[in-house]
Amino acid sequence: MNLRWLRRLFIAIPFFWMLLFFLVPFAFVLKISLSDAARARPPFTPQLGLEDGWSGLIDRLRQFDLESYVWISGDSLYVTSILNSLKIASVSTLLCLVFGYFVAYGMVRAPRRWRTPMLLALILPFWTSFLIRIYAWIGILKNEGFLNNLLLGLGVIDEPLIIMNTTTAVYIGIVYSYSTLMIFPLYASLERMDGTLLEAAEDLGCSRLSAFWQITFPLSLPGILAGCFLVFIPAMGEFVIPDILGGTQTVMIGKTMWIEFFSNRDWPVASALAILLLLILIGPILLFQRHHERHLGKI
Amino acid sequence: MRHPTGSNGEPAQPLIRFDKVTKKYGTLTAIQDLSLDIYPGEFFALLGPSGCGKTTLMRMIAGFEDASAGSVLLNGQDMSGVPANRREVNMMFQSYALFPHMSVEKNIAFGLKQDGWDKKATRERVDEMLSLVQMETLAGRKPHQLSGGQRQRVALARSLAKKPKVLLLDEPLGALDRKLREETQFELVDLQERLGLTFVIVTHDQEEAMTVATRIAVMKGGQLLQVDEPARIYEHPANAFIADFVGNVNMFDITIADTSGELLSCSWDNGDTPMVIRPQPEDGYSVGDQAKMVLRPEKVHITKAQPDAAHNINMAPGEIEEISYTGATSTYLVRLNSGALMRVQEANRMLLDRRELTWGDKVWLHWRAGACVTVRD
Repeated sequence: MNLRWLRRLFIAIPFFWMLLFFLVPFAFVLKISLSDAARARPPFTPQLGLEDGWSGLIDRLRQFDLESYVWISGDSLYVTSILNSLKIASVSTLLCLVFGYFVAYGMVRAPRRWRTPMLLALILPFWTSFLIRIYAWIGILKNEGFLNNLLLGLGVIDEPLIIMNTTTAVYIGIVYSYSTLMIFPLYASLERMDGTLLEAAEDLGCSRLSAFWQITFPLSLPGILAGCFLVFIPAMGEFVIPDILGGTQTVMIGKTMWIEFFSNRDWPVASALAILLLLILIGPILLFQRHHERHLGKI
Repeated sequence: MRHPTGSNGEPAQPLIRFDKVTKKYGTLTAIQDLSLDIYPGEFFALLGPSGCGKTTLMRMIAGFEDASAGSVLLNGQDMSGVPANRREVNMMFQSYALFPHMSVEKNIAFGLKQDGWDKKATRERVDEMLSLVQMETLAGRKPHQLSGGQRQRVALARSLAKKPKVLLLDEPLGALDRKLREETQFELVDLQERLGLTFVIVTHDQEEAMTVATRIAVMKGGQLLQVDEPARIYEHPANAFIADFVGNVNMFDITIADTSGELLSCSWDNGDTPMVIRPQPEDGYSVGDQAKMVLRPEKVHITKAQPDAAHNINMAPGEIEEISYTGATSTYLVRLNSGALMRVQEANRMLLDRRELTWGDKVWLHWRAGACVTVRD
């Protein structure tokens, strides 16, 4: 009896955590998205409370509407920033995949004694603040920055490349920040692979390159999927990188939301955008969960 | 060395030839100046303890390793520089190395696909292979849905699908339990005879090598110690290492006392008892030579009564010190009166409670002059 209660308690902890830190805030945001903007503190109406009694509360609940959502669908800025975010997140995921695969494959193929130092080298940058690392890229990418000086000095280019405040800078920032999330699952799935499989493929008449596509690649698919989800989901809502490196040129949903919240102080529209972003991401998140569970089931 | 002959009595052309092959890994020498011929239609076993170089030798045939010196010839052609994927040799891996993301069918068809077989021919060949290993009903399964024995069959079918000139088997039955292993050994022999292919098996299990192989090469430290038929390896080992490595054995130091008669007469065991040994033609001993007598435990008889003396019978009295019962046979450790320990194996023809021998019994051991052989060193 006691043990059963203890077990229930343990199971309840994560649920309680989710309730407190995910579901309750989500309910707040949902509520704000249904309210109207107002010059008040906090800047929206209605405020829910029992000052006017129960009938007063019901009156206030009646004021909820979908106005913010209608507003969003009417302004191309929001649709553009959502579509742009989708595009940037997708392309970055692809770039991370290509770059990450080379790195992970190289690490697996390297002599065993190099692996730990290489893994460490991947993790070390995480010990510095994310913000500082992104700011550091300004120094590299700006017109009279490190990269341009180097290329000019080498005579590769005659005039500085304009990278800062473009989408290219955003791609560089995202690939730099998120490729680690791609490399780890790829590395794990490649490292687990039995090397004799490639020998068997070769023995049966397969060339090295062909063995890669027929054996290595399909067997690393779980790692590829995990890595893609891990990169795509945060890249979609990314705010810091487009703000710092992308300037005004790059419109992404995260930045638009920030502007709505803090510049326009239109909390209902910002909240509605947050809800929409969540709805967009819930698909991939659920897919990832399902894939993850299936994969665990196999092991 | 004996080897198969062609139809007209001429020595057959070897299918695989190792010509003075040396293989070095850095400063470590895995194979030392080794020459060996393997003929078409043989079931050839490379037998030796781990680290003896047998796997390296096999991987050289497959094309996964190159010789540091000397050459490996396949069908008379020098194979140096020919990659594994262009050799008409297939290998069944110790771990089976089945592709986990492919069904049984796709695994078997993999080699055919690389060679560009068309759909229909592939289909037929895969079906043929599936029925060969009796896996027709499991064609759609993935490797992780199969038992160990079934995986072993799929691996076999996959490596045979391309009709290789040589099938290499790297410890193919190591992962199977004893009973299944024995059954599979017979199936392998049957398969090899039916298909008429050349099989080369690497194993550290001497019983397995003797069961399946038509010829065995015993290796140690990167060199060949003896290449011969199983019965010759067992009954006429070339040296003390082989005698000890292959099967159980009694080995005693002997000194040749008389070579004049039909039988060698020698002293052993502190010279208390004389012993007669039927000499082999190649022995060529002279009086005073030192050698080792090799006597297999199952060739010694154990009785309570003293046997009748005869000119070709050796006998020695002793006391039973230990009995180990393994069902079909019992092994007796007998301490001879002179102090030496002799291992005797007898078939259990009677039920255990009818057996008249027990611990501490005074017994007589006797064996024929023709039952033992000698090795030098």
